[in-house]
Amino acid sequence: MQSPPSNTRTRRLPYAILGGGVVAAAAIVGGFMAIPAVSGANGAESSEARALDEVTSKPELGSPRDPLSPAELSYAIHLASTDASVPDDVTSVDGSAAPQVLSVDIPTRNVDSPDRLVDVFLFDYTSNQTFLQTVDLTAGSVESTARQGVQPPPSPDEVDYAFGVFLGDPAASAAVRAEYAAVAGEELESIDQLAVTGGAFVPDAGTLGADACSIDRCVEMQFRVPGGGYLDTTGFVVDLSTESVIGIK
Amino acid sequence: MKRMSRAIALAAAAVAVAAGLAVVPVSAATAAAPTVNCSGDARIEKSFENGTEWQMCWRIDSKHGLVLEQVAVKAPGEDSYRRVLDSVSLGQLNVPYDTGKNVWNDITSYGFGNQYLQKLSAAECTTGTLRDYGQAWSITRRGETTNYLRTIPSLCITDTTRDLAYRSHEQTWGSIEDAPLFTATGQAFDLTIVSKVDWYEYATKVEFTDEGAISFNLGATGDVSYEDFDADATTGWPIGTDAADYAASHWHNAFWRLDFGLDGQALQQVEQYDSTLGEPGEQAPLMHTTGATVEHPANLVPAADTTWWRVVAPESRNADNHARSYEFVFPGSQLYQGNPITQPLISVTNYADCEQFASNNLNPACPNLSVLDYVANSADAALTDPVAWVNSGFHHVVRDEDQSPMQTHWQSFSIMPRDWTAQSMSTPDGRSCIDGDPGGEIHSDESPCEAVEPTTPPETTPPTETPTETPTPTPTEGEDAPSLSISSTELSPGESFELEGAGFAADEAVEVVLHSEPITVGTLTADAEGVIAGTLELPAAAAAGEHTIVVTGAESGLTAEVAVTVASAPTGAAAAGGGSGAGMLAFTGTALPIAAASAAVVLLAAGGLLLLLRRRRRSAITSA
Repeated sequence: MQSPPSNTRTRRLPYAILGGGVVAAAAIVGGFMAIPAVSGANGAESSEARALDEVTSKPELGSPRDPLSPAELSYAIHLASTDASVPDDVTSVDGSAAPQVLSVDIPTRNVDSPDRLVDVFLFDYTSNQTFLQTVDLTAGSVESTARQGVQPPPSPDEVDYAFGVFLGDPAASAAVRAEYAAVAGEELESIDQLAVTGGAFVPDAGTLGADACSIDRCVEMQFRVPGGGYLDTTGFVVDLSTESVIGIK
Repeated sequence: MKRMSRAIALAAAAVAVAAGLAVVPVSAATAAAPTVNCSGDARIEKSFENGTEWQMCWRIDSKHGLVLEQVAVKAPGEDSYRRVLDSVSLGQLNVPYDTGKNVWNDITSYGFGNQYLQKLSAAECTTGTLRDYGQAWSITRRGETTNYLRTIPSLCITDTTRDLAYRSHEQTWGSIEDAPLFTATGQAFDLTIVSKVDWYEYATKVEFTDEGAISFNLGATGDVSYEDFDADATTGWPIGTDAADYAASHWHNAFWRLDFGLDGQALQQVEQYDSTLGEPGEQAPLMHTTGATVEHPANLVPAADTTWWRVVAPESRNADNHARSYEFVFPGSQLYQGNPITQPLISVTNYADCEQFASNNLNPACPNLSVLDYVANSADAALTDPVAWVNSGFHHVVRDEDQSPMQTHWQSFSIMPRDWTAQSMSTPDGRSCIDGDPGGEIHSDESPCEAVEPTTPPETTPPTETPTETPTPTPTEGEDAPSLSISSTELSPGESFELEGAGFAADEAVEVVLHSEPITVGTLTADAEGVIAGTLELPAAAAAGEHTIVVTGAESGLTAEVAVTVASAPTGAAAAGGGSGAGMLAFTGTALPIAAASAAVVLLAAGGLLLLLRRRRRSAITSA
């Protein structure tokens, strides 16, 4: 039950556990994700979602295969985003002047390297290019490869934006809004009303109507009404590069 | 030569045990301890009661989900870890629907980490321990990027046990209680995360056993897709009332990417073994299993259900001088024929930096390629650094019980050590002396057990893999072990000889028996000091060959023995032994397959007598 990071407020919804009659809570922590509590849960707590400080100088580094510390994460994104390989006219999903950060991971290669390496995936909506910025935190350097037509999974930010594009298209979203109103008894106005899953849409030979998505960045989504069923989302994808909804078959 | 090597192996094992050395000897060419580049909670180290240890780094990748790296095992008695896998993770999850309406690629389009990684509660890791991992995401608006991080309990580490890891009962005729009984409850641990991609929730679980095996499991649960009740009677299954609500059948084609790093070796090869029926044998046709090296990157499809593969490091040898390897074990894997990528069971490639996913590869340096491309693009290269892309497929024909939630269904395979160690990692002390054909007697009721080669003295040539320490031939049970000497170690049937010994109980009768086919020679009586002396005659029925004269005190149970060689007799005696050894092996080896009940009874009686006699044997033997 994913909810994208559209805001930072916290809210609680009733969540019934079948059989035990126990009412737990489904919390959207940090506006990022609803995690239903489970009866009997204890001792395992999530940390609060925290906004990271910007880090522009080399922090203390962990071992090469350790998870990234907050400072390392922030520094890796800084190096990847400000590297000379990023075009001057780079834009993010909302069209503003910044690269879109897709993911930050320890590389799944060179496992015995003694260097602290980080893979930062960026997307440039101006050139529709995916950038793999392999950041060497030890040396403070970046090795960049970029290409059109490579579509990593959309970030929560992009899914959130795609939902906004979809809902903002009255004709394209009419059927889903009607279905939601019938199920929930209220108007669909915000992504916070749904559990939303978003994936990268890559057209194949069997899909009609989405050829643009071979280069454009497209997202397909699945909606679920909390406590209810799924809404039919099979007929469209959102082209984030053109901020439009594309009907597919 | 086989006989000789058997004797050497037995001697080596006995020497190792006597010197208090490791039960599983370490090969001379021990590699340096493998690298492990993680710390704190990122490292997992587990040791089992049998002495096996595992070490690895874990993390959760935004796309691959659970990633295990620098996976190494330390076998009992070894000095250091040996690398098994450089890394392992899911490389794709391809989900085509039988209705033809949907194909999902959950790893490359959604990912098993970050926002799709599930928080685990203590209630769903009831016997395990939870470890945290971070979810990171960035939001960019109006040119400003804010990065977020949150840690959630997401890895469940659970210890497990399995009864009947092995069982071997040295039961004697007519008894159900006799010891020794060798059995054990095996131990293992598994690492599990859960990722939720829309309707489906996937558990990624990797298990490590105390016998060196690793199993890779993908469990699917969650709920039947709301969108997929559009099937008919052949593309789905009705899970509503009557002939309604046909839920679409579909595939979970899980690709695991196993980057092998066997013992840190630069050269690793993949071998395929196939079994074929051959010429008629005495009772059944012969079956010939032959292996061939897979010379180049390849897409492997089983030729028959007996086909199997292993990854072998030819230059890493265990104490038996066998190359260490890991073998693939498939409990049943279904191969989706609707896509060329899922037709092979395993695709093997050389490690390449940019080849990270089985299809829709996301590295811009080799974009959107699949395993088929990786193989085709390197088809002429020698295969020396194998990555195995294992297609663990499952055709899910939905059933009523999949609602709701869907019962978790698992698709699994494992890799199992083949010749990683000279014996099982779980070999108990009482069986530690058994490595290959044991030949003579095994005293498995002693701990550690003792192998005795009764008729072939160990050669003086040292075996190549023998531990270098010179053992001290200490008596096994103290100073009071009796001694024995003989006037001549080469005798003819009917010839007289003199025996002298000391260390027996005062005034006890001492029985003299020729082995290995036991023939009583006579009885001597010890004096007040426990000394025996007397002249006896070698029985005329003694077969030519190597024998042992064993003396046993009737009251003390103390034994001593001396080896003798019996010269050829004019008639038939040699035939009784059935061969040069004329020992127990030859005897049992010819009699048992006949399986005549009478012969079996005789054997059991003889074996029992031997065991009783040898059990009391002392090792301070004086030869004339």
